[in-house]
Amino acid sequence: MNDIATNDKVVSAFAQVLGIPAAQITDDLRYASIPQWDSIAHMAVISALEEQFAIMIDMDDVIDMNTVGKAREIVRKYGVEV
Amino acid sequence: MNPSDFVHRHGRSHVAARLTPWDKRALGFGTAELTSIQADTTEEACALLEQAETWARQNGVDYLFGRVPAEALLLRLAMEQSGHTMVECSLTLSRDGFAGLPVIPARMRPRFRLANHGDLPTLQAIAHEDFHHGRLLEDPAIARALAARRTVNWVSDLLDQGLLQTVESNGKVIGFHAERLTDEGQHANLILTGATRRYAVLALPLWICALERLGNRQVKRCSTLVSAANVGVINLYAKLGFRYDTTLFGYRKFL
Repeated sequence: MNDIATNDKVVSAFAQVLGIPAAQITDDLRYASIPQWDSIAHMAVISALEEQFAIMIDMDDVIDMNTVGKAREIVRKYGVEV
Repeated sequence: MNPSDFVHRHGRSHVAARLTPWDKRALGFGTAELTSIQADTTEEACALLEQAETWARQNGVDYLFGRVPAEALLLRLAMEQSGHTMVECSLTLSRDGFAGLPVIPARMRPRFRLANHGDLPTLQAIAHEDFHHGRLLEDPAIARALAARRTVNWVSDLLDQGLLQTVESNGKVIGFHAERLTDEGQHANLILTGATRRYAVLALPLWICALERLGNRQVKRCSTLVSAANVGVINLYAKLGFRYDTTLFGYRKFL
């Protein structure tokens, strides 16, 4: 069973999409470094973050989002406190 | 068949070849391709290859390339006995229908438009920098610069044939795509698709959109040929539900 219980909404979004425990999701986790975060999952991550925080992520940010930490940084750009 | 093409039949066996001026233009020496070979014995196949090589020499060919199915052991043996060297391996892939493709977030959906000559420098730069696989690029005897020129020329040729689509996202060129419809529009041969390394994360949406466009045009089936060394693209096609149909070994001989 995947443990996705966390107060960190960025981690929660990643855990939901990637299907891995929240404890395994750190800011250093990198795109394509694990089989679960592949190009299909990346599209789902974008959708999940947009839905979670009610934002529309710019294309340049989609391209730059290569780690969980970078995702957090990008989400903050849109005025979200995470 | 072009007048310059070659076919030789002997009983149930045959060999066919064609000149490939598009390769010659890049490499600077005469080139040809074996397009088909069928024989019941290795000896027959060797004799057919000799016929094809004689034709090739008479037509100024220095570099003869041909693919045979991986399971055709007698043909492979004939290629090796005739002095041909295996230089690449390719897979043919296909997909029936276009249902069940992954959903693309709206913001990641690229735009396709017919390429124009103004796009050419950008598209050729992508072909030059970001394509590392293909029969010439994987032949260790061919200089990388010459093989890359072949890919760059190919982009230009596809544009001139009206087959090349420029793919944009957010106003930026992220790649290109070319396909050729056959069987009265029922089948699409995916010729060349590529995304820049900078926008690699948009490669999958690019491919998905290309397939969705085929579905919207009532195309029933598509197929393509991919280098077996290009594992990134093979994995991408696997994610898109393609079936692996055949494995081909590519041989070449300097005449």
